[in-house]
This record gives sequence, structure tokens and C-alpha cells, in this order.
Amino acid sequence: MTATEAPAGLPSPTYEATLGALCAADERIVVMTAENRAAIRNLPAALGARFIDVGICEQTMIGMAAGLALRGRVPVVHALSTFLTLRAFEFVRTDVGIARLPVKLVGGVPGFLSEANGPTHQAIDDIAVMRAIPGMEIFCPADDRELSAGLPAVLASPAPTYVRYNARPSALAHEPFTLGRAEVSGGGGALAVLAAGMLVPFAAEACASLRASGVGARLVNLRTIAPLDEAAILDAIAACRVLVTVEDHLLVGGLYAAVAEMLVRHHVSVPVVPLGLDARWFRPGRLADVLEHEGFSAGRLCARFKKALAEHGGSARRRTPAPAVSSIAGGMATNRIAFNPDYPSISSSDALYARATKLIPGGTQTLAKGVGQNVCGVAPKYLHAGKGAHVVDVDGNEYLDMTMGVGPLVLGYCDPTVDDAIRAQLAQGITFSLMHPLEVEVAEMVRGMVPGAERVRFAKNGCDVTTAAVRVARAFTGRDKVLCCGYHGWHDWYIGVTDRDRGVPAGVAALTHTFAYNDLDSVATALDHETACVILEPTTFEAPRDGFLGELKRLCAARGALLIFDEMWTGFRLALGGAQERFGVTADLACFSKAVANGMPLALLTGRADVMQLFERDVFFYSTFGGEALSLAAAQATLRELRDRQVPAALDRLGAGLRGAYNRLADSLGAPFTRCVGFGCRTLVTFTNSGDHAGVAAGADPLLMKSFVQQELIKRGVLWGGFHNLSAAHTEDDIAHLLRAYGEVLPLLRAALEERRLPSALRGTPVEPVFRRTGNFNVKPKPPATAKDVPNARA
Amino acid sequence: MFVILGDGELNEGSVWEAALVAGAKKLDNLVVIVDRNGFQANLATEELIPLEPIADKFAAFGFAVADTDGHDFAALEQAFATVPPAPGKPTAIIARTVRNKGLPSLEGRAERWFVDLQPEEVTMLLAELEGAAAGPLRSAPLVVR
Repeated sequence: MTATEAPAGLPSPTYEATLGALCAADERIVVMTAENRAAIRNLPAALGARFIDVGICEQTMIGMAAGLALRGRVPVVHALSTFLTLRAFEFVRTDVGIARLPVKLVGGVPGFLSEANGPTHQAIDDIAVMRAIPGMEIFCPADDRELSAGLPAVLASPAPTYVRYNARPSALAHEPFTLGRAEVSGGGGALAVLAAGMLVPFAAEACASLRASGVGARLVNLRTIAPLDEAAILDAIAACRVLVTVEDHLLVGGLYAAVAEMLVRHHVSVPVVPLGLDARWFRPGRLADVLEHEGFSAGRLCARFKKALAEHGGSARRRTPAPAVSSIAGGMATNRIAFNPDYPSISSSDALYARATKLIPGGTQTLAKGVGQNVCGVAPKYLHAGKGAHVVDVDGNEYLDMTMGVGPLVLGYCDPTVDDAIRAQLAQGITFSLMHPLEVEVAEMVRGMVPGAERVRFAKNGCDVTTAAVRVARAFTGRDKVLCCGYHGWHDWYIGVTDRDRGVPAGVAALTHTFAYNDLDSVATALDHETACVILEPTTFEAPRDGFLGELKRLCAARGALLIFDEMWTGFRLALGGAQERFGVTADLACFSKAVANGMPLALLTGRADVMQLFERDVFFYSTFGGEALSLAAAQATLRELRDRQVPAALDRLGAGLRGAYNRLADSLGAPFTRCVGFGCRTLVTFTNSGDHAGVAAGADPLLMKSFVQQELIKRGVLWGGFHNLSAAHTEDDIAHLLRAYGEVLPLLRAALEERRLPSALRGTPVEPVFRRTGNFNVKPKPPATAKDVPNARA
Repeated sequence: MFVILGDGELNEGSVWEAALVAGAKKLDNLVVIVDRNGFQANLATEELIPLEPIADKFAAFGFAVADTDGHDFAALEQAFATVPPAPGKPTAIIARTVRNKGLPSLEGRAERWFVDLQPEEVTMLLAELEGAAAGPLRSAPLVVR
């Protein structure tokens, strides 16, 4: 963004011309107005039935627009900002917001642009109310060029968007527009100015004056208030001493408020001087007079900037630096959580991996984190920092993380409460020579949350407790055989059923069989007098049908076997009490890990007192680190947070919204071959190449489709393995960014499929099969010893 | 209690909510005056969302209605003097008006509300208000926003 003397390049196309061209290219777009035609006088003739003037009734217009959006249209609605955002607010919130429909709300004469109109027409609270609607994007163009440049991205976004219409010309030349990414000019120094909308040109002129007088000033033109380019703001803080926000809006709920909220969330303390309307309407008049009177002309802004520096720019202030995540990601050569122009540089990742291949067999300690699950050549291989739902790789690229450590980070990286608890315990010691009080305290807490937790034991990894559960079930029943469904870890008793069974004695492997989820017959056939237990993940992405879990319990009880739930994914996530609470079925034993300690290693085995009492003498289950106190302290804090913040319900809501939005998006983009399925807390993106919905994907390799989507999401700052492993740290903005990214990537996928060039569109080696699907392993079926042993031919 | 409404404003649902309540609550101390000039911001009202028959609409909501010439002060005075014409009913006065009445240069012209006037044009229009004949502005295009 630079001020130029001569007009920069070609004259800007008008809003009307840009919108008209977009309408011509996309028949889904419908233009509507509540009798506000100032910016679209010629569109009625051009659009015919696709132009709808409802008269002066904003509420009715929003209701109609929501209906049209539900039928696959993209309505672009026009009204004066006050009436659009305030009179029709509840319609926007309820009809458009809750369903996250792609309705584009274009508000006329916002802020100071209402000029001589009185307070009834002054939209200076519009951003506050629009920002309160989850998922709503807010675009504040600085001038006519930015308005036209941003319009295609706004219309392409699957989210609802509020546009603060501003078609005033200015002398600024802009960088290419990316939704959610700020435009930064000027280097570092004394002052950072954050602005958006029609005041940007005036702030730019004021900054230029400051620089001319030798005072360093950086201008951050935010372009969108939601999503807010937090990285650009944190960068500006790192480079400047004082922050000034400039807005033609009330200080309540606008740009200043958004920035202040963000700084508190990041634990950053820095002087911020808000320039805006402080709890009053502005004095109506001609724009130039309004700006001068209210203190927003270039000259008045320059003076106010100097005053801010004089009052807050001294060296004695207290300031906490921005956290590592953002400062690392702020460098010029790194990608951010945005639509980056190119794929990230991963040279440091590759160098580390080259060292690992000569030293660490398989490279990874966790299969899902290894190179086989990520497009080699494009995806980063090593991460080194995280905050909330965002991570930074060893090359400094930042990503929105949808994998979240493959499960544990249920509250997000570096949750302040959990980390405080860990630090407090660290100061006291990690592992002791006798038992630790936390063992008792956390066990009591678990008993209060998990149905059927009459007794509780601790261990480290999930497979510790699934293995202990199988052993104690064998001891209790006096039987040896096991029926399983799902993935239960690396130990002999389970991994022998997979195709990676080398080293497992044949005699051990022969004792375990698999069955198909939701197929009671497959269990009933196999469950005999030699079966000690039935162990399964109570659900993965498919919901239990026809009381499957309850029937399973009844069948086990009738045949003298124990029912064990492997709740690694469902525990503390599907509900506080896991699948047992959610589905109202209590198993004999239940196994937990992952979410219980937000990233610290801890596993739980809970269950019936009469079974678990065998651990007292008969069954041996002890280890050095079982009662390690850092993890128990983390678990205590995590479980408290999950309960008090009602995290399971929040994840369910957020995930259900994401699932619905994804499927609507896929349908509207002509990509019904991809679907989002599963319970809200953890959904899966599937790709099909056969059946009614395959369409252009018929016969294509699903793993190539997944690899391509992963590759393109990485470019757009999203780390993705096909799952949405949600955490409490995932914000509505994160989900909106993800959906915007999908909105770009799915059409690319569709085009590659149509043109039959998917393999060549992939820039690296595709991902390998996922090593787990309930009821349908990507592993070889275990050969049956006798016909009776065939648990399920499909397994 | 006197309330003046523009006719374009009758598009808004909130007007009809209020009318429904006024009728139901028998607010016979309420007088609604509709400035019926036939135009809203961009268009003639009847081209977009037709309002007529306005008088029947208010009557159906429980109003006593007087349909009058909004420039006939005697007729208006009589309408005001007889409030409430029907006990237990709110009153609606449909005042038929002509836009920019009394400014011969602008009277009845269909241009939109937001007109930029130059200082000399303002002077001419002020003179017309005092009784001068229509000036050159009558045939000049208006600068609208």
C-alpha cells in the first residue's frame, strides 16, 4: 500500500461493474436491495429476475436471502448499514448466522460516510453487532479499488459476510487482496497504526507525514475485522513501541475492542491508544467537516499520533513481548494461517528427517505423525511450538492444526490453566519414592465423572490400559479369547490381527478375532464359551444403531464375557463421561488416555470393583511412571477445565456446524463425492469413488484425493490429516478460515478430477492408507482356523 | 398523540405491528398522518410494493380514516378538530401531497431525495418560496447522489 502521485494503473472498476461481472460468471449470485439502489442502479436491467427489490423492509429481505441461500444461491443484499445490521439484526443472527449461510450483507453509508445524516442513520455500532455473530466475516474496504479487489473473495467465501461499503477513491495502490490478511506499509519504529475502512487513506497520509519528519510509523490496513490478521498485529507490536487504533465506530465492540481482546488472549501488554467515537454520536456534516471536527483528517490524525507517542512512547513502560508462535511465524519467508502465495518452505524439516532416517527406524514414534500420513515433499515433518489451535513448524511456518497431537490437545496447546498446574507441580517434584496424593485426588475426580468407575488405575499410554483390561478380563473369566473392533495399540494380543504382525507368536495371535461394528450377528456368532472379553471403540465416526451397545452388553453378560470400551477418542470428549454417558451404556471396564491430561502422558483404566480387585494380588500391573505427578497435576487441571467450561458440549456444537457447512459447501461446489461425517468433537472427511455420488470422482483413488486436499490446505495454512480433531482452542474464526480454504480447494480438486490430472497435480508422494477403520480394517483379514471362528467375513 | 409517517415507510413491518396494537388497544388519542406523496427513495411507491388502497388497509386495522388533500389546510384543520371521529378508534389521516410543493422549479419532479444544490440554486429556490416564478432550475438536470 503506497500513496502515489499519479493514479495507480488503470482506473478502478466500479462496484456495480465488478458485481455485474461476478453475476455474469456465476449464476448462483442474486442481488437484492431494500430499496437502496444508489450503488446498483443499472443491475435491475442487467439481471432481470436475479435482481430483487423488496421495498423498505430489511427484515423480510434477510429472511428471503436466507431462503435463497438454503437453495444454493449466493444473495448479495443491500441496505443502509444501520437498518441492515440493527433493524434486521435478529434475522441476520438467526436466519443467516446460525446456519452460517453465504449471505453477503452490503451496508451503505456506514460510519462517517453517513455524513450529514443524524444519529438514526449513523452506523457506528454495526461492527460490534456483526462481530458478535459466530462465523460472520467483516470486510472494510479502504477505497473503491479495495472494494472491487475484495469482492470476488467475499463472494467466494462460504461464510456470511458483512461489507462496510466504501467506494470513495483514494491515491493508494494496494497489494493483491487476500481475505483475512492485512496489508502492511512502513517498517518498524515508534508507532504502529491499525486501521480499516474509509479512514485508511487518511491514516496513510498521516503516517507519511510522520515518516517525513523522521518518526517511524507502520500502517496496518486490516481490511477485514473478522477474521482479524492477528499475526500482522503481533508483528507490528514486535516492531513498534505504541499501538494506535483508528476507526469510525464506537470504541465498544469495534476494531479497538477486537484488538484489545486479542492482546489479552495472547498475554501481550502494550500501550494501545484508541482513536474512535467514545460513547457518543458524531456531529453530522459534510465528510471533510466531520473528519476535521472529529479529529480524523490527515492533519488531525498526525497530531493525535504524535500526542500518543509523547504520552506512551517513553522507555519506562511495561510490556510483555508477543508469544513465540507469532514472532517466529512473522518472518517474511514463512507461511501463515492465510491463503499463502506459495507452498511453505520445509528445508529444515527435510534436513532433520535426513538425520532421523539414519538413526530412528520409521522416523516417528507415533504412526499418524510420520511421513506416511503426510504428502512428502509438501507437508512439514517437524513441529516445534504451539499455542491454542495454532502450531509452528521448524521452518517457522504457522498452521491451524486440525490434528491436535492426534488427540490429546483437547484444550489446545499451552493451555494457561493446565500449564500453570504443571509448573506448580514441577516446582515440587516429578516422580517420588512413595505414592503421591494426586493419585487419590484424580482417581476421586474420575469416579465422579465416568459412569461405572468403581475403581481406577493409572498408566501412561492407551495400550497400557487396553492390555491391562484384556489381562484382567482373562483372569476374571478364566478364558483366553478376545473379540475386538477398532484400534487398540501395539501389544501382542491386538496387533496380531493386523498385517503388521511380525514378531507376534502365532499362539497369541490366534486368540484374538475382529468383528464388524453395528453388526450384532458378527459378535453373536463368534462369542463362545472361550471368549474372555469383547473390546471395542464404542464409536468412531458411525453412530451405534438399533441399541448396538446395549445389545452387546446384554450378549456379553449372557455368555459370561466382559465388555470393555476403548474410549481413547471418546473419553472426556463425546461427553464428560465419554461414550458411556453419551449412549447410556456402562461397560464392565473402560480405557482412557489422550484427552485426559491435555498432552501429558496419562492413561486410565476404570470399571467394576469385583473385576478390578484382581489387581490387588492376582494380576500384575505396575510400572515406574504410573503415578508420575506432573501428568496427574495436568489431568486434575484438564478435567476441571473440561467440566467447568463444558468443553464436550462446545466441541459438539462447533463440530456439528463445521460438518453441516462442509457438506453444504461440497454440494454447492458440485463435489458430492466428499462428505464430512462423525460426531462433532471429531469428524472425518471422506472421499468416495463409486456409487451415486461419485460423479467426476468415479474410479479415482481416494488417497490421491485426500493427498491433494492436504497439499492445498497446507498452502492455505492448515495442517490436516483428514480429521477435524477439535479442541476448546479452535475458534469460530479458525473454522471460518478452514471453510474458506475448503471453498478454494474443493473446486481445484473437482477440476483436477474432471481433467483427469489428479496424479500430476500432486506435488509429492501421496499419503498411505490410514491404519484404522472400525469394522473395515485396512489390514489383511485374519485367516479363520475353523468355520466357527469366522467373526465377520468383511473384517 | 400525532405521528407523521412517510408513505415509503409503510413498507416496514414494524408500522403494521404498531397499527395492529393501536387498533387492539383502542388508542383513540392517536392520530397517524401519512405523507402520501407517492415517492420513496428511488421509485414511485406504486411501481415497487403497491400501497393502495391505503385507507382500506388502515380501516381494516381498526382505524377511523380520513383521506384528504395534504395541502388543503382547511380540510386538515377539520380532520384534526374532529379527533377522534369514532370513539375507541385510532385515527389515520391520509394526506395526499405533491413533492416539493411551493417550489415551482422542483414541484413533482421524480428525482431522488439526495440532491446536491449549489449556493446560487439555493438562493433561487428561496426566492421561489417567497412567490417568484419557476427559474432555470426547472429544466436543469439535478445532481443526485
